[in-house]
Amino acid sequence: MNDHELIEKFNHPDSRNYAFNLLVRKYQQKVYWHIRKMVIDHDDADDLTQETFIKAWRGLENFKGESQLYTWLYRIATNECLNFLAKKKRRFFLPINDITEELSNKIESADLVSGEQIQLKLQKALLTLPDKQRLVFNMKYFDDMKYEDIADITGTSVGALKASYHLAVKKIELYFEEHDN
Amino acid sequence: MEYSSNKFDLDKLPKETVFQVPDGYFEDLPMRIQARTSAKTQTVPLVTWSARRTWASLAACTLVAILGYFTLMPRQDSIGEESLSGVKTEDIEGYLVHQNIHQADYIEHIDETEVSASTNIEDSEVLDELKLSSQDIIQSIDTQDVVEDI
Repeated sequence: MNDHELIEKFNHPDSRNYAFNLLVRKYQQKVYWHIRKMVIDHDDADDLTQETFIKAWRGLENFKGESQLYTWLYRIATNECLNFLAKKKRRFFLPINDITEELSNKIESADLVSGEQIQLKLQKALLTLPDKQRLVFNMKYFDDMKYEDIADITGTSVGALKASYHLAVKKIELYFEEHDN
Repeated sequence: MEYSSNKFDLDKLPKETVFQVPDGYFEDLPMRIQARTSAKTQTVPLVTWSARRTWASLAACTLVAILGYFTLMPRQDSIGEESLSGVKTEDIEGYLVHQNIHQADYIEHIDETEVSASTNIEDSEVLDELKLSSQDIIQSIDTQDVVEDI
């Protein structure tokens, strides 16, 4: 079932729950992994994924179809992530470096993290980027999204996104040079 | 896989995720989300403010106040007469004595025509009722006053 049919079914009271269930099944993994790469911890990612879909449930009735359904969902998820990280920094009065350290420790110690050393190093390098730049990098590099779609999600121009991604790559390369062992 | 730091190329790095999820996580997630959405849709409807409802309430309150005023005010006037009929004469007298009002004071305020109309009794009948002897009457009359009247 395509997105247009899903929305039509959602707008019909009799098939609303069924359509929403299909929508969650279709997009849950994309949304979850998008969030997980940002917040690192599984429990936090689980909470934010649920919150994203609950907000989608509330707002889908007013979805006009001006953007694609998946970019609309990504936008909600992105806002959830950025708000979560901003709250985390405010709550503990932690400077950015300490949050990076905390997330970096989670990568090393968490049960649900594994992979080659080089991949773990890349994740640590990503944590040194500002949150918004990390978002852009994740969407371009891991999800292989078009700049136009990322622009729709973040509300940033394509030119600015290209510059941001280029800068992120340079910072990661520098991190690898500095942490060569 | 060997990577030299000097030749590090991000594009050559396999795009693998280092993160994992608990077994069966994505099978359960839709049900958990659906449970939360159905719980949220069963909320009690909120009573919202409405200008029309506020004005209707004010109009109703004003109407009740006006009706109450015109209903209760006349009743307050009639309460005295109606309730006095149920009070014993001895109690009224006791009350007047308690209030330091003597018999002579309130007799002065009684309208004679009112008394005669209400009783409808002739003077001679009154004297008969009082059972006074003519000697008692003569003693009580101030003779000087009688002479003046003549």
